[in-house]
Amino acid sequence: MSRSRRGARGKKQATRPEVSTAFWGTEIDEELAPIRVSEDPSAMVRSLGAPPLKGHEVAAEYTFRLVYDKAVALATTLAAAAELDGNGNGEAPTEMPASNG
Amino acid sequence: MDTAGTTAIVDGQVVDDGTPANAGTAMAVDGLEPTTVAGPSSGPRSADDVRAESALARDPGFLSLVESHAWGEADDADTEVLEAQPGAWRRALLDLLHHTDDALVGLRRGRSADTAQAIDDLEGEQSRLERVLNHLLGIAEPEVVAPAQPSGPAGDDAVIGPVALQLTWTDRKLVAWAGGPGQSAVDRRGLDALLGSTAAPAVWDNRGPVQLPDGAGRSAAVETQVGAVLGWLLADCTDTDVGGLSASARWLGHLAAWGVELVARGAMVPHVRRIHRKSRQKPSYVITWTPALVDSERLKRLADAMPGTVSILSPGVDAPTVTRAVLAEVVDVVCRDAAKRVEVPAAPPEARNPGELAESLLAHLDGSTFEAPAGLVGDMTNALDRWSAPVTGKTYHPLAVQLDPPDSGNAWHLAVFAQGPNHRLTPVEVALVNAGNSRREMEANLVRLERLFEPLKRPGSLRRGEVVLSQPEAWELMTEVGPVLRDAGFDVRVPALSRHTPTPSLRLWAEGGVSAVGANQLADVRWTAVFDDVELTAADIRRLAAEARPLVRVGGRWVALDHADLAAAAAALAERADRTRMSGAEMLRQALGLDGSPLAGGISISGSGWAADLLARASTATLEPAADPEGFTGQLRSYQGEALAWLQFLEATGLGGCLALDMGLGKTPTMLAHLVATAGELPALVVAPPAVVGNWASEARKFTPGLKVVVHHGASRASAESLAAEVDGADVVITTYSTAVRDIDALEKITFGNVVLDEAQAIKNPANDTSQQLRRLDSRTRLALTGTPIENGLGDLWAILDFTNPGLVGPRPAFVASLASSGDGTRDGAERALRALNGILVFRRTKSEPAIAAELPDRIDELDHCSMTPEQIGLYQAVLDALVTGATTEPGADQRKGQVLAAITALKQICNHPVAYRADDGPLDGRSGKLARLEEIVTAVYAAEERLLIFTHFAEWGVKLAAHLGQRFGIPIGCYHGGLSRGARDQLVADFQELEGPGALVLSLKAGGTGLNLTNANHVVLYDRWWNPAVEDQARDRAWRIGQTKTVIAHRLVCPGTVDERVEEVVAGKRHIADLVLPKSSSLGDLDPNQLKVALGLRTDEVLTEGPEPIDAPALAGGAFAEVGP
Repeated sequence: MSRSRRGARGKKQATRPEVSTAFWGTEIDEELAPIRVSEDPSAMVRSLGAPPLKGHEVAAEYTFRLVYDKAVALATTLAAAAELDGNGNGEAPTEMPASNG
Repeated sequence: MDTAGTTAIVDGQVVDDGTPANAGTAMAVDGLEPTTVAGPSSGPRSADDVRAESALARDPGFLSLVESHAWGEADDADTEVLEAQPGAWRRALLDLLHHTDDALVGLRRGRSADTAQAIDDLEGEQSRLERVLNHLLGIAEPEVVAPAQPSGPAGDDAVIGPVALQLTWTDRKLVAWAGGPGQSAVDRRGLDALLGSTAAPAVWDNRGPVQLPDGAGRSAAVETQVGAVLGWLLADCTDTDVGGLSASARWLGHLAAWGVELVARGAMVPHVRRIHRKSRQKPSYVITWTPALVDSERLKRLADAMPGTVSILSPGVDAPTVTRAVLAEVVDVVCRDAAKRVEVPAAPPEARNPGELAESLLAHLDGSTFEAPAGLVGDMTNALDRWSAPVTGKTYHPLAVQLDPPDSGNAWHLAVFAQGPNHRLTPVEVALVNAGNSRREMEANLVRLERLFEPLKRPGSLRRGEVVLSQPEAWELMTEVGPVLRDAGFDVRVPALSRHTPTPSLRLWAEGGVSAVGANQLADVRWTAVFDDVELTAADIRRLAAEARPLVRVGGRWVALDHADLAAAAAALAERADRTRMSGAEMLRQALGLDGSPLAGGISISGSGWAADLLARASTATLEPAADPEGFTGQLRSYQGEALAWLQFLEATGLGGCLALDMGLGKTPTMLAHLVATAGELPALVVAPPAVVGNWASEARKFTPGLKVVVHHGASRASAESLAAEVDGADVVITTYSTAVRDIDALEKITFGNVVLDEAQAIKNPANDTSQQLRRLDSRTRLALTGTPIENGLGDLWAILDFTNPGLVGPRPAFVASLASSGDGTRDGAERALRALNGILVFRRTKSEPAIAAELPDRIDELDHCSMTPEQIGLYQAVLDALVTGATTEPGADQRKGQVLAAITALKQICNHPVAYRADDGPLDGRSGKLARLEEIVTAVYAAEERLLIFTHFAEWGVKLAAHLGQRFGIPIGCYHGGLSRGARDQLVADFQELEGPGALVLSLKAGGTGLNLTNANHVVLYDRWWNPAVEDQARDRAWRIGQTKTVIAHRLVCPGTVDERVEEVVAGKRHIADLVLPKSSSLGDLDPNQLKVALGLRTDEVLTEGPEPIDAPALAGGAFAEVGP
């Protein structure tokens, strides 16, 4: 089932008394972007260099990679089940800034 | 512990009846009297009770009561029934609400006025159902609660909102309760109902109630771990179509989605946390997973939007802290779960040194506790925090990596920038100087970047953070490394690129200058290779091929060319380097792929000249259907209009072509429209099989009555000497293949505007006499009509196209080889090959094209006129002669009547085939015009991989016919007739209905004409005629009936000038059976010999013959085949 994730402008709200207090809150007015999945789950942790686990740096990098791979897979599953997944159309990002100043 | 309503185990399944745990007396709402409901508080219920309640809730009668009550239409008795079953009532209301919600979700996607009305109706229904349910559950409706009752914090007095499911964060747990602005506290039943209606999983534990602000009471509450409801938070709390959820639930759903998003990017780091347990001597620790690369602006936005209800149980904790805590919990939950699924070496029994502590840490990434000396852990914790500090700061500012397009020297410049306020970019080396307190973090992130993209560390760079990349490095950054850098927290800006691999093709530039030159005029040409829209010369290709990663810019995006494609393009250009002059015909063949195409994209022609102009015109010729021409009284379908536009294109360019419309798509009227549009100075010659000559004449009368049509066929046709005079003044001359060949000496002296070969597969053998002789015809344009242009192979098509455009398509072997490479030998492959020529030399449309099928009627009836062989004519005349002779000798009217009827049957059999009248052991081939026509139909049907039914009312003939066709086409054919057992007949029908691919079934009209369902066929041939049209209609309706998905084409075969045609006249309602042979007020026995001859005899001017000689009238009179009788 395709789900609707528009902001707080749901139709039901229009037929009921408006609520706008800090305590009860108003529905969050922010679109959820599709969750993009990393093609290299351990890239960020690898960028930090070898973990400071003396004498076990290599084992740590290996174990971290396994855990990161598994965690990303799990997050992907969760996102897919909630229909929040999406990696775009496969084209790489193409934005070019107007100026670099 | 499951507390959401009463739960029972039924057949091993957990059944939640949605009933609140504490049913009681509901409060009065909106004029409804308080309703005392007997809930589970009256005692535990058995599984049977739950089952019975569920069943009742689904009972249509009970549901009807529930709906009537909701609409205010229930009387007291109805209400009593409902009140006696409160559980079922609530369940039915919930079910109805779910159905209504589902329907609303679907309808809200629509935008029409009808949809809007339906939504309004459903929302009204939803509102009524909710009102009753709330009443039953003791939930006050916002519309009727007195606004004077304060229930929220100061300043909220005037605000009233719906009761919704609230979620609160406290102590790493989620607490659920029900409430809303201006509402009183909600008890456990109301909470459970809300949890159920929002599809929350039943994983909640009891906890103390939540105290509402300003003394509004205490709402019942339950609690659970985030991990237990993470899927629900993600799926339902972010879905605005799920009702009953408060702003706090939506907010937590968004935060959960962000947490999962971070994990999906790999943005988390391990952190060691101490667990405070006073009773233990050694401290315990756990690994928690902390979010990294947190966007501080997004965090602030979410913290600002946090409803107060989220932290109602944590007064004094600020929103950013709660936001970070929830985000961290979500990340930690997912990562711990992941770590549990990874096998790691076991931890040492005791961590006594840094090495053992490291082992312990790696063994406890799943969040399980471990013990270690505090001093050791402190050092490691500090080291880990320093290690991860670049990505865990409260304000993470990503460095920007920018790749500029290459300069003229093909150098790609990469620079790293720091992002300042308002996203202003500063070269990182400059920014580092001015970074102040953030210098360490910026420096650390630059080091991270350099680790992931090593060219940045290359010695000799311009300055730190700037480097010139080679083309391969640039491509790597754009395609592979860029996304990795982005996941690692950098802002990557690269030129637009496409992963699409351009298709290479060759372009032939014609530089003839004058476009009026013809197919044989030579013109200067040059060649280039084209990759999508990028044109490359041989020199360009050499340069690109030398690069490790050849990049070109296509449509504003950078794409990488394939080295193999470049090599192929280079080879193709080299091969054609010497071909600098070509004729228009050669160029056309190149463009059509008839001279082979070395590159996947084929060959296109640009520039000027005959071929380029021709192709340019062809590309637009059929975009718009031509209007029905003046003088054409029919209405062309759109594809026929397109065909007419294509014929006009041929006329304008002087090309010939093949109109290859599928059988039944109306080739004849389309061509007549063209002939009437081009009528004038020169006549047109239509050459057709004898079976369709009559059809051409009648269609011409029907669609183009203004055309002067001459049928040049038969014994009475104009002699060679008078042919020119006959043709003079005619618009269309119709003749048969055999007549045209016979009279070719006379015909070749006439210049025709168009020569049209109908059923042009007749010339598929270019060596036979017909093909050779017809090439002698003088015509401005040659056109071919066929539904099966590739009957046996591509050679058939070559023969047709070489006739229509002599020499243009080149030699046969090259033509076949080129087109065969685009097909695979199957029918689809042949169709693909045809499409290569479609719109230029061929106009192909098939019934299987959806746009065509949509225009077709569901049934097409065709009348096919068939020729008679000399053997048939002789036999026919002999039977008639015997009858006439008997008329003078046999006494008795009744006996005479019997003889006449028997003779009619015999004559019909002879029209079918001589063997149908008088069995012999000879082959069936070549002895019957009807059989020849049937074989043409079978060929076309089989070529289309379709199936047909053949009806005859002579069962014995049917058996022979089936055997003959089976042998002739190599596909076994059954014959369904009354002599078979019921089982055998049923099996025949079942086998036929399961057939895939080409097939046929012969049926006797009597046994198979009614009752059968044979929708697997979409062609029906009525081989011989029956007096009653209803019988024929019933036979045809075996295929044309419910279940048929294709247009059914019914062919009726008739031999003109014979008794066969007189039956057709009866069937068509033009005369009565009695009128056939009887003058008014006569009986069969009264007919004299002359009357019999008139009634049943051959009308020599109408009889069609295929043979070289006309019907010999004297021979007929004398009875060439005197031996008569079965």
